[in-house]
Amino acid sequence: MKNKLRNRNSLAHDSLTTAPAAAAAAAVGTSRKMATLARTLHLVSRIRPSTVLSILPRAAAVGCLHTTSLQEHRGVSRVVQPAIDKTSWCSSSVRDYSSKPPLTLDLIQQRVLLVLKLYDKINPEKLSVESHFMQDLGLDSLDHVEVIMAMEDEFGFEIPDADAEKLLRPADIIRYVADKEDIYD
Amino acid sequence: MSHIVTRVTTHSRKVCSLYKRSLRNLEAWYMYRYRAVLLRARFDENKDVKDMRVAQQLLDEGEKELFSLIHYQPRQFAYSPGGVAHGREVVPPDWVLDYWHPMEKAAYPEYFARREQRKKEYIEWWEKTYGKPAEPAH
Repeated sequence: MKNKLRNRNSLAHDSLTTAPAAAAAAAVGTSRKMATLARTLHLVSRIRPSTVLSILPRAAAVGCLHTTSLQEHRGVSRVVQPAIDKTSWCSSSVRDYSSKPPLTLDLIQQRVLLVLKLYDKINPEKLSVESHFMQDLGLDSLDHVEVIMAMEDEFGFEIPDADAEKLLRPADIIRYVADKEDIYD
Repeated sequence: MSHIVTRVTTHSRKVCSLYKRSLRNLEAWYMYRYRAVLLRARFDENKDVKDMRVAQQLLDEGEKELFSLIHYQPRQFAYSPGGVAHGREVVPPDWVLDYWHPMEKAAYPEYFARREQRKKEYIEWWEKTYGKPAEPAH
């Protein structure tokens, strides 16, 4: 029984697991739970084979999974704290619609400016929070539509046309997103 | 009959709306980036048409084309109309607060005092902007 368990754990260890599963893994200590956990991990690794990205946070989580399996082997049951910081949105490659990463005004600003800097037709040196799209950055109305679509994709909710035509600066976009997401700080 | 025009939209707004919908449609099919660039080129080559009749005709043709090419199951955002989470969280309207029981209102005296004040100010603003309401004739 213990041999089969160790094999299962090493299999899960090879295919780096997703963050929520690893976090769930980290909170478990006893051997019975490890069996069900290994089964879920096996299922999870089958459902999402393409999450072998962003090695560092996951490796930390898998490291603690490995330590729990060792402890289980030694017969000690202990709750292990998850080692990943789920709030770092840069490292998650999968978008969860059930819970978004916690937003602050600063984070929204960074994301908006990043998306705008990645756009070809904008000169990143001229870009600032108060720069007007049409006048300062020389964008077209169709370019403006593309920028608004990029913002929709970034933040995950749709911006209707009536609101979109009023968002002519990055500062307006940041304020709009903060209003929609109810962020005041 | 089903498509009654309820707002005055300018030609440029209609063009932008067509562009956005056609890009989202393109996203639903395949090879998005390449085809998006081609679509943008198509929109750009007709950008400087000054004759409004020609422009309107191009817009109509574009709308027909979009309608013929629309995806059978477009990917929608969760909270937009037609998405999965649309209307999931209902925000109660403001006037519901007026129907609270006085015992409940007594729990928040400051807020309700401010609310009465705000209502008075609103009525004053309204009468200043639009004039006093006409007396019912009878």
